[in-house]
Amino acid sequence: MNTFQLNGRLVDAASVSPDVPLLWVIREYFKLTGTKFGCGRGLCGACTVHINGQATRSCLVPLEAVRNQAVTTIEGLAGKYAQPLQTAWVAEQVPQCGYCQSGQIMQAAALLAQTPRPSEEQITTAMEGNLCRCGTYLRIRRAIRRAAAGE
Amino acid sequence: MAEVASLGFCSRLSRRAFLLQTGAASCGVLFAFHGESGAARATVLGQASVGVPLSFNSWVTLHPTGRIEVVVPGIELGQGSHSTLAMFVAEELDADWSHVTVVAAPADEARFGNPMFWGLQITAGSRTCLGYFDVLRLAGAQARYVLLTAAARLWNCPISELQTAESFVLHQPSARRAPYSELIRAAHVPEKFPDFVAPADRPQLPDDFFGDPAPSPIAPRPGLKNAIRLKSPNQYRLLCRDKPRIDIPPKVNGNAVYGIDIRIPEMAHAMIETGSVPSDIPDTIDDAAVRRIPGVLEVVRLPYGVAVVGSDFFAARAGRQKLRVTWRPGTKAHTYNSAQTLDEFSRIAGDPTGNPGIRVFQHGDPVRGRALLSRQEYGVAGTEVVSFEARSELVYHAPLEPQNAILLFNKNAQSAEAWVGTQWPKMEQEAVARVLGIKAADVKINSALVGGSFGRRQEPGAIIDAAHIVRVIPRPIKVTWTREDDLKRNPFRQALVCRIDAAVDASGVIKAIRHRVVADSWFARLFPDFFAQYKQSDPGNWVGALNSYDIPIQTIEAITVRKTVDVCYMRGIGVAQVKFSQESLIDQISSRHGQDPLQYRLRMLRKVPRATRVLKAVSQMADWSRRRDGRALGLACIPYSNSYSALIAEVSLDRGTGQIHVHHVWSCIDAGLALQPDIISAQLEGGIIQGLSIALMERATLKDGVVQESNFHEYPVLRMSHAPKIDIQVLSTDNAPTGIGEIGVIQIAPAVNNAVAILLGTHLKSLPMLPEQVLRVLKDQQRL
Repeated sequence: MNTFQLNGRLVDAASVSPDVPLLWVIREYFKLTGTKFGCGRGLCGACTVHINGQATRSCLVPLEAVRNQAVTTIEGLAGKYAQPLQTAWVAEQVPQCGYCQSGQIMQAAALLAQTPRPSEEQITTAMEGNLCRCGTYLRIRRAIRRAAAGE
Repeated sequence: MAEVASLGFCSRLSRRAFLLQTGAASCGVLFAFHGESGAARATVLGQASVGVPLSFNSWVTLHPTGRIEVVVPGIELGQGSHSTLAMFVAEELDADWSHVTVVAAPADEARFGNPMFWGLQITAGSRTCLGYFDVLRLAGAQARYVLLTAAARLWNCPISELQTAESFVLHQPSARRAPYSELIRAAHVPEKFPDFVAPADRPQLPDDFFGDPAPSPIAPRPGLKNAIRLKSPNQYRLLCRDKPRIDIPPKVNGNAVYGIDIRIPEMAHAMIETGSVPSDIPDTIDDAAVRRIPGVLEVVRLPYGVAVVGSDFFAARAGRQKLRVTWRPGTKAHTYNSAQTLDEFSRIAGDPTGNPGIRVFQHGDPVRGRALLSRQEYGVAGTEVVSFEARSELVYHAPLEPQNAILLFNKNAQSAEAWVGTQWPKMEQEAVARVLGIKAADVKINSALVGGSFGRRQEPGAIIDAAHIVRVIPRPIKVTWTREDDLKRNPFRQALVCRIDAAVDASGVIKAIRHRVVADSWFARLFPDFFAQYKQSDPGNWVGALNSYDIPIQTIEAITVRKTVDVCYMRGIGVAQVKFSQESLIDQISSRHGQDPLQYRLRMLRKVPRATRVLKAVSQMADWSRRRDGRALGLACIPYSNSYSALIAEVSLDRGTGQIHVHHVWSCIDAGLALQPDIISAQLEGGIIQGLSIALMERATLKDGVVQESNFHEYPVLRMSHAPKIDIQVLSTDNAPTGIGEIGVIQIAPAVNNAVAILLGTHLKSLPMLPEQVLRVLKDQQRL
């Protein structure tokens, strides 16, 4: 049994080998493709999800490690900062190709949940693991500030 | 239990996932959903009324609901092309912007080719918006004309009394109005449209790379007295002001469907093992353990690799891990070494007599130029020769979405259908056709949303693997590359050496200049006809050597050295590397003559007002003359794709580690008529950050043909902590729209080097500007 909570629902990826990374279970078994494959080694952050509220690289977490845990993907992102972040991301016109942005938003949401008014340094530290090849970092930073300020 | 749980779950959570899963996904459905929230946007129109859609031309269709569907020929790379291209139509059609949806054009160069890109249907070269500006405005104007004609007929009034606004036709004298959708039934699309003209348009200028622009169908010209007039820019409601991009909302909630996310019914998955040199040929294949894995369908030998095919992704992935293959060399790529290659290029660059190369450009008297540039002349003519040579390493495009493709082969019909993210659909068609032995026209390409490209997707990748597999497995095949595959198999940005010699008089004025550019060529490998058109040279390598500086004698020599490792244009083509040398040289000369680099450029560019304007503006933005403790400002001025841009970087140097820090960047661009100012700004911001990443840390290092870097821990890409503050000023001028997609990448590296030269006392001579280079300079200085 590979049961865990995915976006608030109890699910079971029974037929999947327990050592398969959570990323591929989310994408290929549950067909939630908002979580992206970028590097497979925890280097780019495109696959960031929340496990019990903590921003985590799903490409590094084997399925068995999330048994009975709560996994949240971009599709299920809710809570106090979800809507403000997504609104801020649109207001600042952040994404270019957009491929990394699910991961960026998941990372930012975890940051704000823990640190509602982050300093510039705290934003940098939190977001350092999330690559953006299009170079949208400045707008990501602005969007996080905007969401934190409740604009 | 699992199946039920996952299916039900998905259908509730995501309508898109459900549709794709249940096989309702004809490509039309796919595009409706990834088609930039097309479906969502259209719902504002309410219930469908009866009737059939009306197509005005190849580009615009009006639906009975009022939805206006625009075919967009350029792919959405994140540069906002879908929004901006559709806006060209909407502007002239006076459409309600919220009624406009887009659909990606099929591969059809005759209908959808870019007139400013030799008619090719390619999204590249900073040419998409400027190339389609005229044809799409014309398409919108034609649609409006049809609707006006219909209303005039219905209301029995002259067209001249009618107006349009927000998808309505209005007749003020009778206070009548009709939404566009109500006019469909009365509308008649003529066999031949009347002439249209855009009287306020400034013509597109010739381009260094592309030459003279194609004639515009709406250019003012004689004999157009009765032509219908398009808007002048001061009448625009959508263009030239910032509108939110339509591709963004689905990119913030996980709903955007990229190529890697697409599923089609019956699809099997494949992963591809290749040798450490990706052109190696599989010798022995031990797949016994692979075949024992449940779900593994087949192991397929490819000419250059081995495919493990599984009924699902998990099987393919697990199978690949168990595969054991030995390899033998398939090409001479094993002989390639990065360091030796650049040494070779440098020897050639410094030997104009032994290896003159192709003279691709000459301005002024070449004999006089040779005399001035020969060192014997030193002192005699009152000139000295100043030289600058820089080398640039191979660079990995590194789009965050690895290469992938889905291919379906219908053997009986000898046709194929593909889902793939591509900048140039025709290349994908031809690649598939070659492998399958069918006609390119019988390969249907569904152009998928791409997670970054930067030039990489100008040529096929994973689709070739898929083509080999579908020959033997009668199922649609999805190939997904890992990051390691993607890096190893990437055709890199060309390694390049640019040497410049300049004869400079006592007052610092350049009397003659010669650029020698040495590199391998993308054109030579894939497009011998294009290569021949440029006198057997690759313009991507050398057009950056053209410049705006007032220099009476200029020579450009291009030397193409074919190597055994594939190269492919990257954003900024070879201009980024050449400008690194050129703009560094300009500062080297101005500093030798004790002149301020800004003043020096203003003098040398006094005949180019667009350049001096952005130089003056950026110097004000950065407060150029103010000294900064421990920091220096570096300047670069770049003309590219008829844009003029100047950039200043504020830089410091850690003398202990050798690390260059860029703190603040200011840039001002004259983008001609700035069609979407915020998108231009975003392109510059992103380009500057990408360019800085390439300038400071990126290189693919090959030893005996093997790429030494495997993933982002070894191939670093700039992260947030190293992203400087950036201030952009976009000047909208009355010139035709210019190209803006690449110029950010181009301008940052030389500006940083010019600042480093102030801090270090000398310029750096290679890209990337790694700490070890800085430390080597410091060490040499201590020794002296």
